[in-house]
Amino acid sequence: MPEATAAVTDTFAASEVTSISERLVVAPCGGRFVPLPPEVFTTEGEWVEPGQVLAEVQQGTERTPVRSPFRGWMMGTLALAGQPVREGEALFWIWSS
Amino acid sequence: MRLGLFPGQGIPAKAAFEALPASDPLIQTAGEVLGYDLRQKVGIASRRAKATLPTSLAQPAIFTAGVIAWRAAQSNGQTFDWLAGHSLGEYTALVAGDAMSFEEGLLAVAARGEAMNDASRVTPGGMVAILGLSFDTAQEIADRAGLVLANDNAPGQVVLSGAEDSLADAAGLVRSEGGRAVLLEVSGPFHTPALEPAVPALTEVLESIEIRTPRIPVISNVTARPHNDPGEIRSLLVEQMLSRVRFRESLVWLWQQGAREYLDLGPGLVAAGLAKRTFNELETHAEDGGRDSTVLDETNKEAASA
Repeated sequence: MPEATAAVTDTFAASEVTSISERLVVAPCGGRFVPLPPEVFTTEGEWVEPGQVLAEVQQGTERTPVRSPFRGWMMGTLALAGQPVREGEALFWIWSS
Repeated sequence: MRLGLFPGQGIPAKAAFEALPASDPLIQTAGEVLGYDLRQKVGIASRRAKATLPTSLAQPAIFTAGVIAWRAAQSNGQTFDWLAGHSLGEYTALVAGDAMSFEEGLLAVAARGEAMNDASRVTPGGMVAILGLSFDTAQEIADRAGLVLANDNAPGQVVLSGAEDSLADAAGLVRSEGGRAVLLEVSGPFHTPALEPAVPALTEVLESIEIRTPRIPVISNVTARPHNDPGEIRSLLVEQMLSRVRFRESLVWLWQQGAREYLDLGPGLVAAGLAKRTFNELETHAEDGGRDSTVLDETNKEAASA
């Protein structure tokens, strides 16, 4: 590979690596945001593990779980109960320290 | 037997602000002692939704609010047989028990808050509440993660303190044990030896103020027993900043002395929540003849090993 091309490729590769520790959990589909019941509700500041269900999105009678792909502290909920959300809309802010 | 309770630092800014009425004469006194308008500063900090106060402001604010509530309770004719406070709340309890004046207590907590804040810059870290696990399991997790079990608050509720990375390690272990871990909004690894740099400033202020034997017994966070002589109060208050808050054990001891009624003098209801959890477990334990409780077992175990 010519030297210049290698440098450009390295730059692109480096830009794919992020050191920012903030992450967003997004809605898996459109619908209405449904928080979990109080006994399993994830409070702000709570530690979450990958795969942990944080909430649900309701479409008609179907409910789709919102799972965290990340490990870290749940720093904030970005939607209100019953709020209409679009697929890909940010719902939770996670800080993976 | 009636118990008056005072909370520690973990009170939302809004609740602290609401507990500082502009018309109360102690607000004016606090301004003279501190050299700034306490209520105005807390008001500005509480504008942000769900805000907590920085340590150096939280301590004088929550302390002053507690003393205001205490004086209101007294003027309503309420009486108490025992007083106890969680961490910072121990200072409020000492003022309520007449072991120190409001002005000198305020000087002490303001210096304490500043010193703890400064020490946290030297040794950064934080605290995490562990919910739903036994004391022994939480202690095991603390040991594995290199943390200190800093607050023994109530059955199934302790707080670990130490370096940030270790808090995350501990939180992962807590989840795997089926418990919950909640990061607390504090600026440093409080109630651990990492606060050692704060000792000279706190010692200096405690040496400069008058401390008397309390008129109403006040429970020490360090010993989980009533304070006695003033010299010992000074040294225990310094030790308290570096060591575990034994709040659950204090409540167990008070219950054993006959305390059944309690009132959280605020702000907030955190201290009452811890008392409710502990007393409920003790009552269940008493009703089932002592077969199904960990709260006394843990206390007895520690007493046996002391």
